[in-house]
Amino acid sequence: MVGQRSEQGTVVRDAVGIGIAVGAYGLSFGAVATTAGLSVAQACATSLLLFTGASQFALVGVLGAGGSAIAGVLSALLLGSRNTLYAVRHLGTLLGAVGAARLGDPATFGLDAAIPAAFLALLAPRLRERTGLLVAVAGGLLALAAVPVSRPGVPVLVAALAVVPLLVRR
Amino acid sequence: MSTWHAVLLGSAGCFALKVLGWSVPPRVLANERVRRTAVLLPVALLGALVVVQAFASGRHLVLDARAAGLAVAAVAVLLRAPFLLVVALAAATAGLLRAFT
Repeated sequence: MVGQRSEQGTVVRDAVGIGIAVGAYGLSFGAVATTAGLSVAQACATSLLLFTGASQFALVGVLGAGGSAIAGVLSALLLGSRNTLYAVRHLGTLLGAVGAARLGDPATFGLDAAIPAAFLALLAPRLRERTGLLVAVAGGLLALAAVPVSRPGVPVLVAALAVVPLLVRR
Repeated sequence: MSTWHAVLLGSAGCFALKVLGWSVPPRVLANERVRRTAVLLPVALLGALVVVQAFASGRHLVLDARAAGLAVAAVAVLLRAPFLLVVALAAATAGLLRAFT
């Protein structure tokens, strides 16, 4: 009985820990989304309905950079495509969105710098292996090259070409 | 197309992709090429999003406070700082830099 109770305690502790961590993730998403020009309601809808971390950040990132809605959706879908492989956060989004919406000009508080940092942190685990690092750098360079010659939002889509060599080569 | 359209269409699309994942034969998903592409496509896009968000201003490439924020974020990532701390440090760096320049 004692063993069972301590086991339950561990489960509750882990669950609370994950809830807080994921809620904090939502907090930064909400702040980033309103910074990118979404309303508080739009930020919460994205969190509730899209419910795919990296795709949410991609959608608001592209929209915030002045990209078209189509480019934003395509980026979100390309990022979400990996979901086909794997079969408290929304409250965080609400808080982050309301908080950032009240702050006024996002640039004053450096919230615009929070967006690339969030992407980098999402990317970090993949950078620790060689192929991941190469693909990320290639994607970044392709996007940089595309910025001056394409409409906002398009460079991110162009970066998808970075995986083409992996399809050709075995 | 409005921001609302983008939010709803993106949500519907990502949901459809999740459903698709359950309906595709496991044999296809186990394919090495499919697996690697699915893992690395987000990596290429995130790499692009990092540089576009940090260095692009419309169609121009610029070096401003965001770059400094990204540099600090990179150091934080190397030191394996948690997600929220990385984001907060980048924002604080850019914010402070703008306040004093």
